[in-house]
Parts: sequence; structure tokens; C-alpha cells
Amino acid sequence: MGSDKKQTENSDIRQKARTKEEVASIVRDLAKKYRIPKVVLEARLTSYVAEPYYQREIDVYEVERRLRELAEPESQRTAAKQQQSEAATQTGKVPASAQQRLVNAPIAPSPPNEGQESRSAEKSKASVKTESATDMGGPEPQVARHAEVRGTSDEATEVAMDESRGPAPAPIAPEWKVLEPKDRTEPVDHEVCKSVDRDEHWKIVAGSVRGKLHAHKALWRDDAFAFDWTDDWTILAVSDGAGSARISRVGARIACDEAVETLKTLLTNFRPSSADPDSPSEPDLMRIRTFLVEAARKAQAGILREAKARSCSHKDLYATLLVMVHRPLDRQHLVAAIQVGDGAVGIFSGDGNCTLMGVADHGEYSSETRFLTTPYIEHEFEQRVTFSIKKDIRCLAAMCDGVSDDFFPEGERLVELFVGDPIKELKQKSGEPVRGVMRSVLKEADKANALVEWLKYEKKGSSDDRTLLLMYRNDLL
Amino acid sequence: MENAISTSLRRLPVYVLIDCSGSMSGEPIAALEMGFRSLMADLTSDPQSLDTVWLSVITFASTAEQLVPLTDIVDFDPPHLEAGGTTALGEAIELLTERLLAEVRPTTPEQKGDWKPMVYVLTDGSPTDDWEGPVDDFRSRELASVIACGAGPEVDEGVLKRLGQTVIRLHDTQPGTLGAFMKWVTMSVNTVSRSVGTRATLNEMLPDLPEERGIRLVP
Repeated sequence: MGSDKKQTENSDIRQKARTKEEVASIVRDLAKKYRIPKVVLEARLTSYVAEPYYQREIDVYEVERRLRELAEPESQRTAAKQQQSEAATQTGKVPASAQQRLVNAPIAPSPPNEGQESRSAEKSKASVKTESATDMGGPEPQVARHAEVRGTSDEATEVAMDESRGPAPAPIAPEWKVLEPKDRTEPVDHEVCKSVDRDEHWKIVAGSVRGKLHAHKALWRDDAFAFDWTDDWTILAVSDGAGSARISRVGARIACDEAVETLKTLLTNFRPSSADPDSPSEPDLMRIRTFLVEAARKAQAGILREAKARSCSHKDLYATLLVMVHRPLDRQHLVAAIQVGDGAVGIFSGDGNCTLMGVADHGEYSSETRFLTTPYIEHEFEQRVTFSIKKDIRCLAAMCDGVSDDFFPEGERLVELFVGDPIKELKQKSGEPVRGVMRSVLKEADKANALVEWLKYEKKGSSDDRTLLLMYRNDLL
Repeated sequence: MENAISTSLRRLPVYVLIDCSGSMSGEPIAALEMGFRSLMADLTSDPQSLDTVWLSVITFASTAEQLVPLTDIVDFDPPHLEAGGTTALGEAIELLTERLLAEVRPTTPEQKGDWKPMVYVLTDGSPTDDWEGPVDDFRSRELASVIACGAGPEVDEGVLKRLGQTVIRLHDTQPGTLGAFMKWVTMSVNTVSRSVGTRATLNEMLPDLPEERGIRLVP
């Protein structure tokens, strides 16, 4: 930016008068780098130089250093916030009434030449303790209420660091809280995982984690999964309870359990009757379709029964359902699935390709999905069954939309879930890139926990519960 | 390059249409300007809104103008508003329709669409242009959830009902009332951004109105 000659001088930045445009572009760069809103940054600069930032030469490096300092433990940030709002009222440095609110944004540690600062920082320590205690959750109603209003409160231009995003460069963004649900009925674990040896070839690993939006809003995880097998058949199911439904986690649980149990009963002793062991006959496929439809019906009936028993609306138990069955044939594999609502089933084969089964049904705007108990949905069950007969399957994946949405459009991108290296737009908490499950999770010793960690990837705008079931050829990894 | 939006990122587009006719000049318009500043500050302090909300401002007086195109809330500049002229609501809705079609991404096989856009329309008078055609055309396309808000006694409630699924009345255009209104807009964007994907309906998502400040829902 600066000319080379002037770089040698220490104070060149301070001395250089910048045009409004120059400063604006510097601010834009800084705002991008630290992912903080431009107006908040402007407000910080304004409080730093005590007048509209562009009317004075500013030392951008000094500002950046201060921004980096902001990336400190929450206790210090909270102190800084309190101290800043006090400073603002006490010193009357606020330039214009319209700016007032913005100037309350935390700038840490505030301009050094003010005596009362350290005192107020100490004073605020008591409040700091309760504040950081909220992070660990604990059913502390007062604190939770505080979290709810915080985002909308009038003067809360609060910009805290998101601890989960890693250290360098320290991002300064509003913080996602991790809160325990106040409603203690029907508890479910915030994270679950399972890893099972299906047989000498196949293993199954499953994981489900609460999304950061549910954690932030002190709500339960709404997803569920289940799997089982009988003879050569393996059955995998995932369900996503609707976020707007009060006890959809119960609906999701029932949907998975009913579907898997029904299919297990129906598939026991069922063998394709076709003469060619590698090519199931039309009647075979019809029967399998009937089984899958029956599984969805049983799941639906289970939810309706539960709603009746609880004297609540079936809408309180809104849940999607995705069930898949797999059977190895002679040299091929048969996979069949039924899908009600969104989510995805992907089949990864030895040639490196991924086949997507079924089509998720969201409307023109994606919030319009269907559920097991959406009226008259049962008439659509049959057409929601899909089949795939494939060679050399290495990995099958069933997932809720919390995962599949991050691979949209799934037809092109779901393959990344298996072998992406790295997966576009996904980052680990540490900031490291995320690799496909076959290159990461399935290579770990403790696959169940590795999957849970994998499911905690960061992606902008992605905050739903995430559930993923994998069945894979362990001997061919 | 700044406009390169991830194909799998769902945004919550929010359009705010502001009546800047002559009757809004002075304190009301200043209150709204300030309202945008605090809206911006509040939305960017909520992690979910920060990640998902994109904002556009359209003003209408004798003509309509998109003051701020649909912009990531992080990059949003609170606009300077000027009042003067008549109330070209029809033109504003025509412009809104055009911008929604151009800026909001529907779900297609290749692309995950945005969340259903939110539209807030604030007016303090009756339209002075030909509004029925544009409004009916807009409604029939079902492009967005519309909250039509009328401030003061001059408002024609019939127009609002034809325009929006949800209709809100503000008792007057005093700065206090408009400030409370903008705060409610902020709260509702925040709650909607947290409810996207939960498949709740708009009215289930909207927070309670500050009735003590003279703002109420028209049934």
C-alpha cells in the first residue's frame, strides 16, 4: 500500500493522510479478514480516534493490533464491553446521536489515557463469572433468558469471538452459545454415535450431533437414526424432526424404530426369487417396494398413535423418514430406499462415483418440506421408493438434510462426502480443511467418535442438527 | 468476486420498502435512518442472522428506487434517506417484484435456493399511482412473505390487506413509534432467521408487537 521509501520510517502510517476512499477500502479489507460487520468496525475506529474515522489519519496497523487483542477470553471481552459503555457515557466522546449505539461496541482495551477504566474493569468481574458459566449450560433460567434477548437488545452491538473458529487470524463474530434445554422432558443426548461390525466385510458407523442453532436456542437435537440387519439384509434409517414441532425428537425416534423393526420382520426369510441371482425379478422388486411402503405406514401409524396417547397434535411430532435396505447379490448389490421429506442417500462405488437415490422434496423455497404425517402423504409412498442395482459398492450413506444440504447440489457434490479432499467450504473447528469420510473417519481406530468430530465441521449458514449413517466395506478401504 | 455466492449457502433475503413521501420528512425519516443503524448493529450481533441475512432497501416517493441492492448484512451500509414527493407504491411493488426475481435464488436442481424472502412495506398514506395491477401481480407470484405496515391515520387498510399476508398498524409516525417499529422488524428478522428450516409458518415466527407503543396487528 504505502510507497517503499516511506516504509523505512516508523511513523509513516500515522503521518500519511488518507483519502476517505483509501480508508474505506482498508476498513473493508479488515472487516472481511476478521469477519466483523463494517459498521461495527467503523464504530470501533470512531471510538478509537474519537471522531469519524475518515476525518483523521489513522494507523491501520494499530487498529488491526487492537482487533487482534479483541480475540481474548470472554471474561476480558465482557469487561471491555462494560468498560466501554461506561467510558462512552462518562467521557461523552460520542460524536453524533445517530452513532451512539454503535459506539457502544466493545473496543478493547479502550484508549489508554483514561484513569477510570481499570476501576470499571474490576467492578465488572463479578458479572463476568456468571456470564462464562452460561457456556457450560446448566439449567439456569435467568441466564438463558439473557441469551434470548441479547441478539435484539437495543444497545447490544456485541461482537464476541466465536471460539469454535480457531485462533489465527482471530475471528471476531457474535458468539454461538451452547445451552441446555430448559424443557427437561424427553431428553436425548446432544451427541450419539455407534460403530458395529455387521459381518466380515461390512461395518456400520453412525453419528448424530445437535446443531449449533439448537444449542444456541437451548433446544434438543431433533434427529434420530436406527439400523439393524436380518439374513443378508441391512436396514438403515434416519429421521429429522421438524424444528418447529414441540416434541419432534420423539416423532423422529418412533419413525426410525418402527420402520427398522417393520422391515426386519418383513425381510427375514425373504430371498429374491429370480433365476439370475444378480438380477432381481420384477415381482421381487415389487415386494421390496411393498415392504418399504409398509415400513413408512407403520412409522406414520406409530406417530399418530403417540400423538393420540399424548393428546397432542400429530404436528407436534412432525418428522421426515429416510430408510434404505441393502443386500449383496452375486456380483452386484441391491439397494432400495424410501424417502419422505428431505435428506439424502448416496452410494459410493469402487469406480469413484456416487449415485444419489431418491429426490428430496423441497418446494420452491426450501422451507417447505413434507413429513410422515402430512395429510395424504401415504398416497405418495409408493412413488417415493427408488432402487439401485450396482457393482462394487464401497460405502452407503444415509443422512438428514443437516448434512446433505451442505453438499448441495447433491447430484454433483455428494461424492465429496465420501472422498472429497478437501471438501469445498467445510472447515474443521481448528480451521483445517475437512476430508471425505473415507479419507478421514473410516481410517481412524475409533470411528464412532471420529464421525461425531467430523460432523462438527463449520460451514457458513449451516447450523442444523447433523446425522449420518455409513455402511462400508471394511476389507476394501 | 464479492458477488460469488456459494451454491449451497441459503440466505434469508430481507427487503424493506420505505415510504419517503413528503409527509415523512423531518423526524420520521430521521427515526427510520437511525432505525436502520440499530437494525444493522443488532442483526450482526446475532450469529445466525450474521450468517444468513441479506438486506435490501427500496424507497418510494414520486418514484421508486432500490437504495441498497440485496447485500450481505456484514457489508450493509445504513442508507441516507430523503423525503419529498408523492406515494408511488405501485412503482415500488413493480420494482420489488423485479428485484426479487433478479436477486433471490429459487431452488432448482442445480442450486439450493434462498429461504423465502421477507418483505416489510412501511407507508403513511394512500398510493398516488396505479397500484392495483402491480400489487395483484406481485401477490399472485408468491415470491415472499409480506408484512404490510401502515403508519398514521391517512393509511388505507384495504391497500395493505391486498398487499401483505400480515398487516400491521402504527398509531402515528412519531419517532418513538417508528423506532419501536424498526426494533420489532429487527426482532422479527432475528427470530425468522433462527426459524428457517424449522418449517414454521410466518405468523408462528413473528414476535409479539409492542402494542403499548401503538403498534398492533390488524386481524
